[in-house]
Amino acid sequence: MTTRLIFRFLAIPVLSAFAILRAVGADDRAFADGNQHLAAGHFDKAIGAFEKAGGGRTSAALENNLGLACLGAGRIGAAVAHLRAAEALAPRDGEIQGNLALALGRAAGGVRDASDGRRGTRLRLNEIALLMLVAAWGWLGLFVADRFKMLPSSSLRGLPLLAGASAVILAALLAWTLSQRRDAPRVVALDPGADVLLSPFGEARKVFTAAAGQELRWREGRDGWFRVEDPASPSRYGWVKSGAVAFIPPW
Amino acid sequence: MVRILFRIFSGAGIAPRLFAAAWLLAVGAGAHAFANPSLTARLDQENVQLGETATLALSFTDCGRMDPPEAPEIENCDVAYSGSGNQFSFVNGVQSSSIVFRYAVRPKKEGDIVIPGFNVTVNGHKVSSDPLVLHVGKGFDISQLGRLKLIVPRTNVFVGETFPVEIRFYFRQSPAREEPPTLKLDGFAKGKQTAEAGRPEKINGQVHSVAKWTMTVTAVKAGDLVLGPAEIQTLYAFQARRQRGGPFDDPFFGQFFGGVEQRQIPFESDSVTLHVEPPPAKGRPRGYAGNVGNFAVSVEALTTNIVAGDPVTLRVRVAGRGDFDQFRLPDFPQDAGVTAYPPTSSFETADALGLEGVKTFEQVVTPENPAVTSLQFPTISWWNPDSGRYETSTPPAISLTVRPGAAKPAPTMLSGAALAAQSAPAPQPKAPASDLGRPKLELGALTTLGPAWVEQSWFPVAAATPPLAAIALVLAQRRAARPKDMEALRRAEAEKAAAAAAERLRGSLTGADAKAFFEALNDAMQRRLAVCTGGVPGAFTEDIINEKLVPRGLSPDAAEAAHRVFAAVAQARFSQTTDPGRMAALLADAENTLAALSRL
Repeated sequence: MTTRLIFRFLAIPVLSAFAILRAVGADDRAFADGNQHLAAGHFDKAIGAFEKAGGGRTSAALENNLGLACLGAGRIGAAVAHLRAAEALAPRDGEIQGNLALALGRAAGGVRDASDGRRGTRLRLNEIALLMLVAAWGWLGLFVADRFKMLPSSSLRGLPLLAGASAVILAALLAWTLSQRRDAPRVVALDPGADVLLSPFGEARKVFTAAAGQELRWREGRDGWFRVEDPASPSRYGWVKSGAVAFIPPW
Repeated sequence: MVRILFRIFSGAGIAPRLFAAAWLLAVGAGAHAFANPSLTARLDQENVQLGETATLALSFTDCGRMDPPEAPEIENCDVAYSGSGNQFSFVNGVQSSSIVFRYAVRPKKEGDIVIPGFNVTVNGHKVSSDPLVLHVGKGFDISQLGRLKLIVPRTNVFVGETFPVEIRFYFRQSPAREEPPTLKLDGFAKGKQTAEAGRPEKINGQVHSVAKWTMTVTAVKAGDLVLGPAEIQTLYAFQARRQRGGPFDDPFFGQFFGGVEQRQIPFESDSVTLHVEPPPAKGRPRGYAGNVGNFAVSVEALTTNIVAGDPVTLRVRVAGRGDFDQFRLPDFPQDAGVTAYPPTSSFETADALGLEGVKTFEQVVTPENPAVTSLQFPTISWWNPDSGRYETSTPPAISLTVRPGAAKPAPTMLSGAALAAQSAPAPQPKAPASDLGRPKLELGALTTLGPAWVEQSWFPVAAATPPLAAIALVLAQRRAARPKDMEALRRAEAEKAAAAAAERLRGSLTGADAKAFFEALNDAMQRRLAVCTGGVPGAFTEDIINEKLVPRGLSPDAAEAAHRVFAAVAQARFSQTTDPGRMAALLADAENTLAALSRL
């Protein structure tokens, strides 16, 4: 009876783990195939293989290599979008920064710093938010312990103050980072470029063409159109079809 | 499948059975989503006046998820989708969910309007509703309140021409509130807008106040285009219509109870048809970039003495009136001997609408070889709608002094944005694999990209909980501590009063005032007893000695002394002794008693 119960309740987790391991193995194989195609210069095949890897999920390495494959295939817009996603997932990775600078340089026809227009810390928003939450909840725990006189030693009485100060500083850092990144570009023009129109309808006059890989500020969305702004010249703004651009994930 | 489920769920224990129940409930709920699909149409009011709006609600019950149906066509009515909502009900064990789509219905004609029944197919189910009738009253003539007028400077314009448009609202009675006007634009793009109060004007012999909105409009395509109508939504307050003949049908009551009825009244102007044509092809200069307006152009170089390979910054100033947003500089010709980079620009407006001003471009160019000793900026051209002809400006050549030196790389300050603005995107060649960056060899941990935590709804709750919980804890602790504090405070005050009374007692003996002595004696005893037993001073009798004080440990001597003090105080109410020896003995008894009580 006990054996049957154990079998019954262990079967599902074991089978699930087996399925996950099998999927992980398939992801790794697809990723390795993509790398082989990338090294051989078969960029379209590499893109296909990389897109199979992950199965709806992604990683910094996958986005980085997808970006490089797109760059090799001449799809500059997609390359910048993937490399920005890689940067969002691993903001302190020097290799990704270098690859992103390369793609941005190809898009702009020169050399570009990947951090151009991106002020603030190199910490991800989620990292700062996590630190702030840990500090705030830690402070709450210490505060409660202090109020109920549960701190073991009088020398630990300064800990709540320290944790509270840390939480406040991290909250201020989070607010400052948000304000710094508020005007950062949030969309990138896909290939072969995106026509920015004066109004959100097809017959409207073209304001300018955002080259593939050009990054734009996103202001609002409406019925399949995005209102975007050129960060280099905020007076240049207009509407672009949503399919002509890709979102840059928050970093 | 059924057999496996049976094997899993038939085992002993509460967990498998609960799991089975939850699974069956979920499956049952899913099946219930389309159990009794129905459609109900309802009006929020059946009687409206002309100019008012009723809301039509289409309620789809148990139809599952669906998109809003297109706004129904109703004769003599404007219908517009105004939103949706979900409703869930669980009545007598029967669960149902509804999606309600709301439409604003604005009648255009007086009389009864029949809203036909709707037949809709949702997720394979046909549902229908009953017809409804909307009774539309005559309303009132809104032209008595005011009117809206759209004014354009001329009806023949050119594509790309920017011109001011004025919307004037003439009114005899000021609305309680008004929204900024809207202007229907088809083939036009709206620019900046200003609002101001105009001078009162007479219309049909009656003076009207004037509110004026001015905006810039740019024609973006050719043809006979309709501009307008302009529309403004206002809110007027009227004396509420009251039933006549009632007991309160009196202006006095109306002043207090009649109330004010607010009505939303829209005003609409006439529309204007404009003939829009493109600038003529005849006489169009080479390199014409689509600029329209009346401009004057000047070009200067910020530096002319350079080392070979150095960039030169050119400043181009465009002053005048027209569409500055779309003003473009021409490209340098291929054989100009320079590499030109996209310009940056700034604009100083001279009026509130941004029609007039000065736009300054700064463009970096690099001579391609040291032999280039002069820069010829390309001819700039524009169509001037005022003069009806193309105008051009060819800036004079700029002489350069080029000194030999090491070659420098091209400037990197320019962005892809500016590059794209000036030239169409060139097809990107495929790069050799060796030119690519560094790929990653390990896939790494897989994750899902999504919005940042700070953009998600749970984050403010998680961030605000610690400080709020701490505040709540402090308040709760203070509240719990407050009664103890009050008791301690009360005891301290009673102790202080008792000590003061004892001090007065000692002082009263020297004054030889028997009445004051016995009052002080009584006061000192009562206050000390109040401290000792927690009662109210003045309420203690001699009985308390044996009832409470002796059981609590008052010594027999002290109890005897206390009895003597109580007896002397009682006797003093009728005849007070003035014998100093007797009073001194009483004082000694009192001090012994007070000291003993203090120790209890």
